Amino acid sequence: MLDAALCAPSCTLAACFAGDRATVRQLQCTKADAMRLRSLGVYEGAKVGIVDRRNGVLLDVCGSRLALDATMAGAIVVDPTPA
Amino acid sequence: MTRPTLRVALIGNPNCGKSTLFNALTGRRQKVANFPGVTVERVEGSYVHEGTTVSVLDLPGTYSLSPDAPDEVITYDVVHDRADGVAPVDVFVVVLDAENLERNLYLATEVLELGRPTVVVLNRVDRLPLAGMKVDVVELIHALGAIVVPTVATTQEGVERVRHCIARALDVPQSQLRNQGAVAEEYRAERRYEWIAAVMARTVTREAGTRTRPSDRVDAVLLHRVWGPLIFVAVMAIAFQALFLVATPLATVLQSALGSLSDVLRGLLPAGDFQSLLIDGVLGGVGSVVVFVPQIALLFLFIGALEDSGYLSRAAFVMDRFMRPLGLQGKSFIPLLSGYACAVPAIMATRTIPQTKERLATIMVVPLMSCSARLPVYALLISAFVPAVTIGHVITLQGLALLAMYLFGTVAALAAAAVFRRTLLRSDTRALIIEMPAYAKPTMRVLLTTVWQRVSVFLQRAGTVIFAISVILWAMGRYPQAGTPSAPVSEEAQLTQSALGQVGHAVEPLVRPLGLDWKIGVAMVASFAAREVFVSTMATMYGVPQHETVHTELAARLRDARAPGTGRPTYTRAAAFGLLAFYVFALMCTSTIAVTVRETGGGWQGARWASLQFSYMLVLAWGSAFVVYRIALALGAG
Repeated sequence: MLDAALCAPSCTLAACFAGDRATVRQLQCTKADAMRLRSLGVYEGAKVGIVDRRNGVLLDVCGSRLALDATMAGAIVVDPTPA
Repeated sequence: MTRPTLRVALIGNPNCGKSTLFNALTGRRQKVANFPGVTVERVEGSYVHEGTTVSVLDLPGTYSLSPDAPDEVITYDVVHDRADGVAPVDVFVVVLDAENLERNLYLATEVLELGRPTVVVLNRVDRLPLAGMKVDVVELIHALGAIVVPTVATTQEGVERVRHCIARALDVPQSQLRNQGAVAEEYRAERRYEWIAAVMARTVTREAGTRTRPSDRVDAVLLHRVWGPLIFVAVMAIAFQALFLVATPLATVLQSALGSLSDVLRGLLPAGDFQSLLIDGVLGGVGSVVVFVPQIALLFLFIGALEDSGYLSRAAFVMDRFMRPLGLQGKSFIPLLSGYACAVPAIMATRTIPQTKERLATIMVVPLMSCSARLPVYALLISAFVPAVTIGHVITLQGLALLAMYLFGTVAALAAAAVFRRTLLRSDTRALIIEMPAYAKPTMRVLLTTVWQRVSVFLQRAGTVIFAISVILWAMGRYPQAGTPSAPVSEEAQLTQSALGQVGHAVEPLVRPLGLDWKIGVAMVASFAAREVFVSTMATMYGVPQHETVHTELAARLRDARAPGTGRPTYTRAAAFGLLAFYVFALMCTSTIAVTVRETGGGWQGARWASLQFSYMLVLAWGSAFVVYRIALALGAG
């Protein structure tokens, strides 16, 4: 059986669900924001968890919690791993 | 013999306990200033260890050495020995939050790669068991090639060892970490984190199933789309209620203490210019500064407690979607709300906004929020000219009028912010990327130190400007003297003949279109220093003694005042409404002006921003007063 993660197409963080885990594929934002995201642990290849997504997105990154507004969540392309 | 000073800089992520360690290292020997040319706070302290004076610089919190916000640029410049007015650093102390080690190691590797003497402090190790983590410190020392000291800065645990390691840092070999970042930016981060992941695998063991934090359940409520904003507004409402309940009596105590001191001086010194200068000029000037201190201290205690508990980040996130259409961030909301209490600490609270233009826009509009000093003016004019009619057995017309004043101010502040952000302070509103630190109990010692730093900065900087202006206004009200020592004149006559009175007459053409006369002109000019002076000046003009019932008596006098000759009311209801509109929008507070100068860069740069703030608010105030007066006249309120 194919792993669900291998089947899931790339989408943005805004399309993920609470409880999902995802691998960051691309940062489609300004250079300054991308730099900030990377220093906070959201870099290309990073594995993040979606803790909550009712009001923007709350991420589990390297064990710490990072909140992004909806626009920023829509600018981060990920490969999701459904819960 | 004392050896040369050792210069140390503390560097670390925001919320890693860096300032707590700074306080633990330096105790009370601290001073706060700004880095030259920018509004980033420079906090320095010192201690003596084995005969060597160690000077410690607490750098602003940063996530990396890639400069982005102004405070991160400062950290970058200090690290590379090119910050203006900062001597080269001998030893760097990188503070890591043990609970968030993986993310914190990103900055640590950047600093270690510089090959400079560095001590790594692994702070908050007491929280590791709760997070289900264990860190092998010896293995971490091998991996980083640097000294690593575990600490709990809040309880001083390990702090003496940090002092010892700082003293030895120049004598031990430097870390051999090199070139983790010698590739393109996106690969640099990936490569660095790969290296960090390998270090984490060697040094950290986690219990299974500990990735979900207990605070996630709290966040589900506090960050909720509906409950989040409601809880935030409730928290702020309780805080302001407490602020009024506690700060007002303290301010009254301070005022009466100054009053007693005035009485003592009056008894000791003979009546005359010198006595008046000391009592009305110096004590009056100092008093106008001191009465703000309880509000400033309490507001910063409260904001500090919110910040240290981890809630401030949540509040900024929750309010962000409401502020974004105006071109501001969620972080602007707290200074704006604080403006209801007092614009001075509110402007100082804008320091939490990292983007310069968003911060400037917030500073420019904060004084439009109706502060507590406007209340005496509102109360006087409303009680004099708005009928005390109860509407539907619930609220009085006077109460509604007061509410309208606050609403006008708030709407004007939000609209002005939107205008500034679309014109002079135009820039893209940065996306919100904000760390939610774990909830923690604030440390009272750290909180009180921060409050003291803020209060002393206010007293030193703003106090000098306010003091000077108060003395100038005193002199303008005192000279030229109308009477002689043998034939003194009344206070009203003196004020009329004085330079201040002449200015009042000179501005009459400006206030006449608003339906006002020269007496109001004098009170308006006098209250440019502090708007609450309007009431006491009007009381002097109408010969009402300054006691508890001054408001009631003065309101009656204003209502009954008749123009000589015609017998018609001097002040119509329409003119009073216009005057209320004037006081809603005018910036009549030297403390606010002084703080704006300081917080927008100081010197000429700060003076330019403060002039713009004062001017646009004055134009807005006069224009609104004119429009309100004309509309009220048209509606028959003449």
